[in-house]
Amino acid sequence: MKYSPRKSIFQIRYDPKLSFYNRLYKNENLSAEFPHWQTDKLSITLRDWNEKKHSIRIAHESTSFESDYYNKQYEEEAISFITNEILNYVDDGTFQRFGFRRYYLIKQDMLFSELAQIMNLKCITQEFKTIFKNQADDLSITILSSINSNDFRLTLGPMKKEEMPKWIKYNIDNHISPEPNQRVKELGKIFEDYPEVAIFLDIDYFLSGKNLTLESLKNFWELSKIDIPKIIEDVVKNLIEKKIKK
Amino acid sequence: MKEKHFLDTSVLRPILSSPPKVKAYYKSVLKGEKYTSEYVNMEFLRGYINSAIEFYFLLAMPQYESFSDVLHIWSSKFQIREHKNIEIMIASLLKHNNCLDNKEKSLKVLADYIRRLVGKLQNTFKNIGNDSTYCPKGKLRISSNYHKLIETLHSFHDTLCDNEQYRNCKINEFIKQKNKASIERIIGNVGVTNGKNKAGFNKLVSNLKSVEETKDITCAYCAKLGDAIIAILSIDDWSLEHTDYSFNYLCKILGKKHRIHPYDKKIMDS
Amino acid sequence: MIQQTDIASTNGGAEDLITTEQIYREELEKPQVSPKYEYIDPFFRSISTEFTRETKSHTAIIIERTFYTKKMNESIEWLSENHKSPIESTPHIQRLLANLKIYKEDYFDDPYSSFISALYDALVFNDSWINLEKEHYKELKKIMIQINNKSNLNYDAIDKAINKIEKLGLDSTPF
Repeated sequence: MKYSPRKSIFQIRYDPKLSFYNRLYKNENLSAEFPHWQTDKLSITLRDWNEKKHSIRIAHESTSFESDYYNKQYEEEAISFITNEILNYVDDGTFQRFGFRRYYLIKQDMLFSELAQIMNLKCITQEFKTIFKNQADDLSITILSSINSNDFRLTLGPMKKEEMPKWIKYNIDNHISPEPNQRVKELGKIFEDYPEVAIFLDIDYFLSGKNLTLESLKNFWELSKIDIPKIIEDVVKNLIEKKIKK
Repeated sequence: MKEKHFLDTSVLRPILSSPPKVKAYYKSVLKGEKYTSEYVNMEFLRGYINSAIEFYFLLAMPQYESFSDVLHIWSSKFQIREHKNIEIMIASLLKHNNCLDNKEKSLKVLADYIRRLVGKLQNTFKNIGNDSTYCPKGKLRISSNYHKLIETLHSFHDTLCDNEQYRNCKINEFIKQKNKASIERIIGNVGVTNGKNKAGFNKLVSNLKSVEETKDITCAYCAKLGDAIIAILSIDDWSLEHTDYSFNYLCKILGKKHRIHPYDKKIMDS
Repeated sequence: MIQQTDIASTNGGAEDLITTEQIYREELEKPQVSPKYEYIDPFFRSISTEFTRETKSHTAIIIERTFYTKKMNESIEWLSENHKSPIESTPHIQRLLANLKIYKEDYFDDPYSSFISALYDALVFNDSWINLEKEHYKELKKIMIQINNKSNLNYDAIDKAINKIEKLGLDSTPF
């Protein structure tokens, strides 16, 4: 993968049933893979705020994997864990929606105004630009489309550093150490690591339907690993194209 | 075998910058390889390009709003060689770019065109290869990026006007030692009788005679000897192309092949 | 990025917005990166305010250059395959010249515009574009790509590229 996401959320939605609670709390395996867990009696959150910075939340209507630190292996392990365990508390064929959302910040060595101008140049037609006299100080574009039988919603735009925490909401409760000194250090580092100017991309890749199965979940996961990077690379390549192929 | 043409500045200039009819004329009569030398290039830069740069800085003065404001003072006060040709060139250039009344745009367009002419000079012709004057001004280029273009034009102009640059060339050896015999033949008018249009040649001879009394031939003095230097540089069986009557005499004395061409105006009127 | 109302909420723990604000405040209050200005001697500043505006970053220049060159080459590609008579070629030439004109006027920051203005003048003067053959346009396309893809473009490379278009029979100094 050419670009690493800043944040990922893999979510499975299913028919809510009361029997879910009985089945969920009997499953000791759930806590075995994660160093910490928390419950509010309506859901369980399994979390790792040390190295992995990710968590899984299991509720009566959805199970979500959320990560604020991309690592291919950890991600594979966590999602495989979900797909292995989910039928212990959810019936096959009751899935309603699979969604994989990723947030990217593609660093750019230019001013924010220059990036806005470039995106204006590339994404808005000449005719439309004449309405606002060719000057767009900022813009964002949202596209709803599909690829390989799955749908996606892509939002993109130029972004400055101070906007980034508002758009990419770091899961502070579950992915940052609760120890106060460590917490302050980690929070400071989050902002430090943001680039000054970047292309922001928010892609929500999903499949909706009635009575989706575990088989379709696994297919969806496999396709997402190919489709999402391809869409992101194609969009970025087009936006910041610097050479022409001969 | 294709004829080889050594270009004097008087022909180099219209080949690079002149109305289409004049260019078409030279294209039809100069079919062989065209050559220049550092000295010829220097004369073009010092005469034509430098004058265009002076026009640029005149137009840039805060009291002038447009090309037509400058034209009056240029025509009446700047009686320099090529000033009319430069005026025609700049007028055509600015008219083509629809900026005769737009000073900012005119300045940009003119600066870019001057840069382009210098680049074309350096890339279009072959070098005769025997220029032992080693004039450093002939190799000047405008190579920096846009934001330093104005400063580059300024220093380019200053270098071309610098009278002390003779210390970096071999003009003194060229005139006083290496080609002393040729200079003496020219002074002696060997093989040439009185003829028409000889005023320029006579003036040149007078300047050459005075070389004996000068300690160093500076850039300003060298400018008075240009035709003699170019005639000496010209290779025997190549054709020295020019529009200057003095070359008729110079080439006869030195036994060089040459051809005189009409001035731009005559070509245009024909 | 323009603020929008949230389209879909993310799952996960509640955000401690107040804590986030407190931690980030120092960073948020830092001054923005200011545009880069080159020092220009007052002598030159009096010449034109054009030369005192902020310099564009190299990356932005290259991306915009490539965008326009691609557009120009779309027209040149058509001409390299189809140019026969002026009538059929006119819409494509019009589009090419329009893009050349935009670039030479609006992108003076980029030395590449020096090559573009030479090409524009050469094509337009005496309608020289009519006399070019398909092969000339093919060669022109190669020149455009070559110079566009040069990573550190300087005037020496531009002059060489202008010399190449001269060899196609065009006159880059027609005045």
